[in-house]
Amino acid sequence: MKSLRSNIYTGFAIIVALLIGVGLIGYLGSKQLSDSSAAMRKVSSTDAAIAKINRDVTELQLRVARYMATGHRSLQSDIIALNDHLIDQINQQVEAQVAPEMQDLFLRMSVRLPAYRSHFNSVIEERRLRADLVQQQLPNQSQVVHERLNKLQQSLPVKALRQANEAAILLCKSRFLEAERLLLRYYIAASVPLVTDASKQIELAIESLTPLKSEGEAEPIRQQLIRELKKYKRLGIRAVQATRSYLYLVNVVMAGEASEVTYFSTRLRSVSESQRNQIADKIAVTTTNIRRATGIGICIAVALGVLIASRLGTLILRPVTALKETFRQLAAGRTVLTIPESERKDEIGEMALAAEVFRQRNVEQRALLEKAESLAIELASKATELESSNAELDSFAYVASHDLKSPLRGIRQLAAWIQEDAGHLLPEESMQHFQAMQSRVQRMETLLEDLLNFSRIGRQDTQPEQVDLNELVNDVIELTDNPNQVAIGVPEPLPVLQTIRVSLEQVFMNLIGNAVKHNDKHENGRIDILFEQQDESYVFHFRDNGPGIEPQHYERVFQMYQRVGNTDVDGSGMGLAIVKKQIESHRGSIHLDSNNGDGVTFTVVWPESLV
Amino acid sequence: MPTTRRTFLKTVAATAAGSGTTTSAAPFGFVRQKRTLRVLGTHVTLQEPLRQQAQRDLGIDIQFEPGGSAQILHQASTRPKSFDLYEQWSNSIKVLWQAGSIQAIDIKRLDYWNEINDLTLTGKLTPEANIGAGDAPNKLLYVQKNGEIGSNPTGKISFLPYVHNVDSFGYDADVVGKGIPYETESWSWLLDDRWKGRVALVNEPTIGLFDAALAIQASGRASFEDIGDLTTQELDKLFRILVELRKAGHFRGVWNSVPNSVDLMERGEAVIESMFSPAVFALKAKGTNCIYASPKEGYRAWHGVMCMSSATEGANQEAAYEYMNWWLSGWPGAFIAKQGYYISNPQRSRKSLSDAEWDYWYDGQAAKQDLLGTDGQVVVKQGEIRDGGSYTKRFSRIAVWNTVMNNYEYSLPGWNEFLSAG
Repeated sequence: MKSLRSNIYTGFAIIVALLIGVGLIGYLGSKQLSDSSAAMRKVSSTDAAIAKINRDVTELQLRVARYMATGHRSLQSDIIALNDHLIDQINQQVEAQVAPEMQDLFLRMSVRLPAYRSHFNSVIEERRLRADLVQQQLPNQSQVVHERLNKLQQSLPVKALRQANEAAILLCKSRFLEAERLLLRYYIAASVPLVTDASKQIELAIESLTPLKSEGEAEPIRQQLIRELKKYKRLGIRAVQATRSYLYLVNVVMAGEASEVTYFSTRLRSVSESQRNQIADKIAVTTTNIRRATGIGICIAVALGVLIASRLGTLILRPVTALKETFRQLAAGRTVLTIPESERKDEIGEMALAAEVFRQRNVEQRALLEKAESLAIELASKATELESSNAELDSFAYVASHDLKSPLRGIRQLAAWIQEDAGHLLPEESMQHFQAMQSRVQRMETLLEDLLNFSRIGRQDTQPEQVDLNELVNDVIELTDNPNQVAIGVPEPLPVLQTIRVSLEQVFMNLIGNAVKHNDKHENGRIDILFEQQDESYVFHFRDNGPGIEPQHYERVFQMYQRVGNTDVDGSGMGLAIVKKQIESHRGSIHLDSNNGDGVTFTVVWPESLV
Repeated sequence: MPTTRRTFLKTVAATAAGSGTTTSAAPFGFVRQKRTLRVLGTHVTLQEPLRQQAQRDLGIDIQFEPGGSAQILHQASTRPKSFDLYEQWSNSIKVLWQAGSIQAIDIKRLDYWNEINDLTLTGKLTPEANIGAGDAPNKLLYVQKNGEIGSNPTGKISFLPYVHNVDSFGYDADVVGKGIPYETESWSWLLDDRWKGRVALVNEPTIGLFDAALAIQASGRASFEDIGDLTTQELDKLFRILVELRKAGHFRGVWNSVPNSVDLMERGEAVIESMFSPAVFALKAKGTNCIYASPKEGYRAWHGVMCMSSATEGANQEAAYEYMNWWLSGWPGAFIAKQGYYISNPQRSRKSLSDAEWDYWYDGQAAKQDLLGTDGQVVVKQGEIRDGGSYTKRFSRIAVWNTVMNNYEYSLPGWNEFLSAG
């Protein structure tokens, strides 16, 4: 099984890859759209150029038609300029086009207009020539012919023949006039028969001069006239040729070139339209594809996202939830038998292992708790037993001390009576034994008294009372046997407190008495009682400059019948045990500090209020 | 290849050797001064191999000046001094003769005049053949006593009869489908809606206009009294129909030259169009299944004319006659036969053609072998039969001759209107 991290990373990687894929599709699509738009702009620009070329070709044809109708010279330069402009436009497009079909069409178109211009130059020339012939040369020649006719008529020498000659001249003249008329008609409305007829009339005019009897100077004039008539015919035919020529050039050759240009522009428009449609289709397809691909990509991404999330949920949430519940139970200290998902090899498996450790500790802890509980129960039982035993012991001590006091008192009384009655009878040695016995009885009484006091502690049901500590301390000092006059320093004022007088009095009495008793400094001995009030207690320090106590005896000094230090000092060894019991029976505490040989300080913490 | 002094001397030496004389020791001055002949014409006959051959055969420096029909006609009719010989078609004769640009040719100086066949002399190759409308060559051939040109035989002629042919339209059989000559093939095909946008005509009113008129008549759209001489009303009607068709997008356009017509069909822009014979063979050589139609209505015929400039005289005139005689001497006729043209004295060309060539080009028989064109390429595959059949068969079905009609000038603006429509 792969780790959760690798599963999560793989999931994210797939989603990110899909998002990148969708983004890439979007980018490529938008790039394609941008390219298509650029191509569309180019096609539109070509369209505009084609439309302009078409308009210009139409305009060119119109101007040529106007020129044909009017012959205005200004139109010539206009036409040539427009033609050159068209050539430039087409050549620009040849250069600009990249699509072979478009380029080929523009190229084929481009060869047409230079030819058009060349033909138009011929048209100008022929038109000029025709105008010159029709407006200048032919009228002049006509005048020359008429002059020659008149001259010939005048030069005819023989009167007898004049009539016939004049008839011939008139015939010639009339045929020439007819030829002129026919030619003029041709120049107005061109037609082949008019030329044929005019030509024929001139030939007839020449022929009509044949019967002319011209002699002398008339003959050269006649020959001259024939030459002039032929010249007229030649000029007339030349004008006809010029007319035919420019009519042919304009109506056939130039119109043919223009029609090809129009054809190519139509083809170009069609190709351009087809390109535009293709681009539009491409844009539509691209848009649809982008939309579809993006939609599919997003759907896949969402689906995969959901799938991955649910998969990760299955992989993580369910076991984590189960583990959380397990942990919660473990945290609540419940015993869990099995840890879920512990068989997994991933992070959850590791968590499960951690939980297993937790569970095991829980089990151990429970076992410990159970053991502790049983120990506590056992302890309580023991305590109870101990209390019961203590109580029995106290009771026993009390009873024993109390009950033993009476016989002991009897013994002491009996011994006194014996001493009184038979003391003088007894040998010295027995008398010494007898006194020793009395001393022992005395000591036993003290021991019993102390034991009784000790056992009484905590037994009296005494109520607290208002105690003026100043009085109490003074009373205690006064009652204390202080043969060496050890100085006792008491702070003033001491508080007045609500407490058990007897208990506190015994504590003060024992501690001061002990300090006085054990002080080895005699008249230089000193005891200082210090006082301070803490939170809820009163703290008293009893500091002396006595011999001090070695640390190893700190505990022992508080035990019953234990004596430390000078054993010559009178005492039962119960004083401090009583003090400790008194203090602790009121939830106070006592401890001591001693600098070896430099006295000892007992510190007593006495509760402010008694429980 | 231009003639150099070296090749000229070689030619002269060969000629002299043939005549049995010795020129090796002859002083340079005895060599006849080199003559120059300027020939104005179209690409149909002004072909470089012909020029080279003529120079070799004649020892004349021949200069060809080929050009467009209109241009050369204009030049010839206005500047006779700029050429010696003019080669075009019979429809230019009236114009040239009227302009006085050409002079009469003396038939006595034509070596092979007697071999000229009846087509030129009578307008009919065989007595049974129909004489086409318009100006048949015989109507323009002879110079009449009154100085005009006409059909009455005289000793003078206005042009040397030589190259001629019948034209129709060519079509791409792979697109249009192969028709049956003289039965289903019809000029009306040019106006068939199926070929809308892919029809072209030759841009020449004296030619293309007849193709259009024949097509209109064949399709039943109009009929003409005399298709060779349309009245203004008939022309109006004809152009009205043409303009309507052009506006409807029926025509791809017009063509100005043979290569142009080849290009149109090769590109597929035209699948049926007016056509000249060399274009058909050029297309076949390029792999286009082009068929030269044999319309049941008959052909549009044309006759080549070789005219002598009115300004040509002396040695140039002599050279001109030599060149004219050379044209009828056999080899040139055979040469142009391989391009599908006929010559006016075909029998003399026969010896320069193989039997297979003669049988295919003139007799209308299946080619016995692959036939080469003048450029050395195979233009006819073995087994092919010439579209329309034999010379006789084809020239027996002339509908109209290329003609400058009386209303020629009237037709020009109409033609312009046709071209500009749409």
